[in-house]
Amino acid sequence: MEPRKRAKLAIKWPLKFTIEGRYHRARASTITLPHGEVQTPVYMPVGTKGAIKGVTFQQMRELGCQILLGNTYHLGNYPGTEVLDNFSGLHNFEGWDRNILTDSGGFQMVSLLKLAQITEEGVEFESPTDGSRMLLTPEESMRIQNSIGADIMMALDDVTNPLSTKERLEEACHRTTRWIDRCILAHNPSKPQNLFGIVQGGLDASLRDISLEGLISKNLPGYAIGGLAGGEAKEDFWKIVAHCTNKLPWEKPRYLMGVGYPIDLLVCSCLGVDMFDCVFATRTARFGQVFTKKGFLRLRPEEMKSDLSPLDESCNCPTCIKYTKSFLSSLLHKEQTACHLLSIHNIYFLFTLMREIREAILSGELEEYARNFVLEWFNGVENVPNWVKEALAEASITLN
Amino acid sequence: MDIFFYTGRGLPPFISNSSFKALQLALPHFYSNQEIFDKISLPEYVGIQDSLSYLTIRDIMNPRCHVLGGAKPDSITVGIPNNQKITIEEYMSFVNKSKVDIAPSLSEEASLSCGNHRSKRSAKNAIVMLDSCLELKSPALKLLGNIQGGKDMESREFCAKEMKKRCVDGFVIGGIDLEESGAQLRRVVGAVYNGLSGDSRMIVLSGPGRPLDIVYAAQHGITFFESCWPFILAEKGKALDLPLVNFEDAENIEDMDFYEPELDLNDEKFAMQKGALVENCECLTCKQHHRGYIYHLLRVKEMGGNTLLAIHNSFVMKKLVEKLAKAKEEGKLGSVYADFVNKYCMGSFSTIN
Ligand SMILES: [Zn+2]
Ligand SMILES: [Zn+2]
Repeated sequence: MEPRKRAKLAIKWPLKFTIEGRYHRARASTITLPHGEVQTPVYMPVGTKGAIKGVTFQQMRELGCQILLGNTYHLGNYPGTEVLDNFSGLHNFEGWDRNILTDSGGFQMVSLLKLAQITEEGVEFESPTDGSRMLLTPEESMRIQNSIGADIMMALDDVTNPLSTKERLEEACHRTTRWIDRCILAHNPSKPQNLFGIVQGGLDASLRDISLEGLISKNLPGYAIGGLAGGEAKEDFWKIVAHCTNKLPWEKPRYLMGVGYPIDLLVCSCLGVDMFDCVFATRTARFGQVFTKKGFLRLRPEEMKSDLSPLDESCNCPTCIKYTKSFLSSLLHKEQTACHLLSIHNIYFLFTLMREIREAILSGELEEYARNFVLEWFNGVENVPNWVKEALAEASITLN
Repeated sequence: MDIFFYTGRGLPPFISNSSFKALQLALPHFYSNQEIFDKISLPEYVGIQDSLSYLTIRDIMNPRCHVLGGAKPDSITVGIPNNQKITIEEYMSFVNKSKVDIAPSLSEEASLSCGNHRSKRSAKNAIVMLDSCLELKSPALKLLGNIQGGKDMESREFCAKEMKKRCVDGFVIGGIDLEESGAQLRRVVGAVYNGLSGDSRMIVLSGPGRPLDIVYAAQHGITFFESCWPFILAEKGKALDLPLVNFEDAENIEDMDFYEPELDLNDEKFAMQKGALVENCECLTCKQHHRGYIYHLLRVKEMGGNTLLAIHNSFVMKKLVEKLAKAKEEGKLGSVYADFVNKYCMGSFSTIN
């Protein structure tokens, strides 16, 4: 294999971002990436170890998926960069010819591994295989992500619990910005790849400002909002999202990391987020829970024994077209393929939601769409939580 | 000629969007909730109304699912969920109501490892019970005479001969367990072949449906095959390595043991290998994925690896039966088994169990 060319300091990122319509703060756009176009707002399913639980890539293509997420930490372990290089990257290795986004690996380490510790050098952690001390530096994260060859890479960030001290959170902001420089310097691709930075700062708007300022000056092709979806109060959550989308450059894509509840996708799309990822859709399917327009539905075999209706009357997914609640619930915990059928429904549900939001933005009917969705989801205006009303009001959408 | 691919509850293992033309459905999983079939047919309920549906009395993949009879030929007891006793009337009422396309007559399952007494009894009782089933069957149902007799070749032949006289839509060679394969199974197929002597109705071979057994059975007049073998291999991380080009001439080798060539994708040697599982295979797995990727998925215990193997293995089986059907049409089935063994099973794999 040929030695890779060192990237020049002034990088021309292979990403084109075209906004096709807006509704106040919400946008409908097309992101053109090395493996094709992505229409936004977009939900990106997560293929942790190179596969989506129980759904083949062929099925993902048929569902219209344009971009998938892969986890650098897992892929760096197995198959590892030697194998990935041998196959010229993850696209060819796993047989997926559309776009891929990879995280930096930092978040997975801090959340999965005991004794992970962050220093200026990088994320120190105990090897899960032999217990030795290991180090994930920005350079190492980029090395792995260059081997994976994802269309969008995430810069390694200083992952901090939002409940840490202000000093610690501020340190994380500055360090994340410093690490961006190391990421850019270490970026050594063998094919076109983009690098997104991650806005940190916990639940404190002034800290977010520090992070935003540092990152925006790097002129990256896109930005992610990190450090949320960790169990914070919804009031804090939406306000930070709104704060960040307000200050991030309008002409670049914004990605909200780890958020995947249908209502959150709707609210945050209205607030101007373009990209989302979450394992919730597939994880909750394994426990027999699915999304419907009327909220969550849990499969209960005894109760649903004679119920010949589909999971969601309005859904046209391959599962709802073919199967009843009675049949699907009878398979629960007995046939592995049952949770795949539920996963497919949940993924399809989120794809459909995003497509409908996009169409509503383009046709200028986002307010009406959001209103209908929220009222149906919560079953009446009286059940809609305050944070949803406030967040939508911020996006110039009222519920009555 | 076709394969009834295995399902227990209507979905083949590992594959959530199968498009198999013919599928098995195992009675014990649907029996207790049968009121629902007043409102919807069983094939529709499990979403296979566009395929040929074939009911089995047991679930071959479930080790607890024995089907026992007694001295009196009036009922059986199915192991799952909880030793359910089913009379002929109850069985036929379920079968008629469920509206499956094809079902066997009620009988106990006497495997090739059961004793002489039970082997003989199973054949005699199967004939009596077939007559009762015939009286109760709805016109739309295709009822198969369930040929029993265990490992007793006389009983097998006798059972086949008697059932041949009945007004059935076809036959099934019952009582073939998951582990059965090889010479003894071929003798049973031979005995039934003698008993049915050129009958043109459909004949189903029950059991795991391994390629070699299917090829042998096809040469001996069998037209349909139960098969769960592709999924058993997929579960173990194995791929059928049959490139299915034309068969060549060979000698008679019916009493020897041979095994289908397989690739064990758990083997580290596949980690870096590019390309299809089997060269020129046109299945979705081979067209879109590398060997190294499947090795990786098995290694990290992602079920996607088993899914891709199941897709490949079932595709190979489908191609195999298509080839057999074509050979039959052209009158070339005469030495197909020997050809097959010579072509594929004489290599280094033939000694691996
Ligand atoms: Zn659906
Ligand atoms: Zn194949």
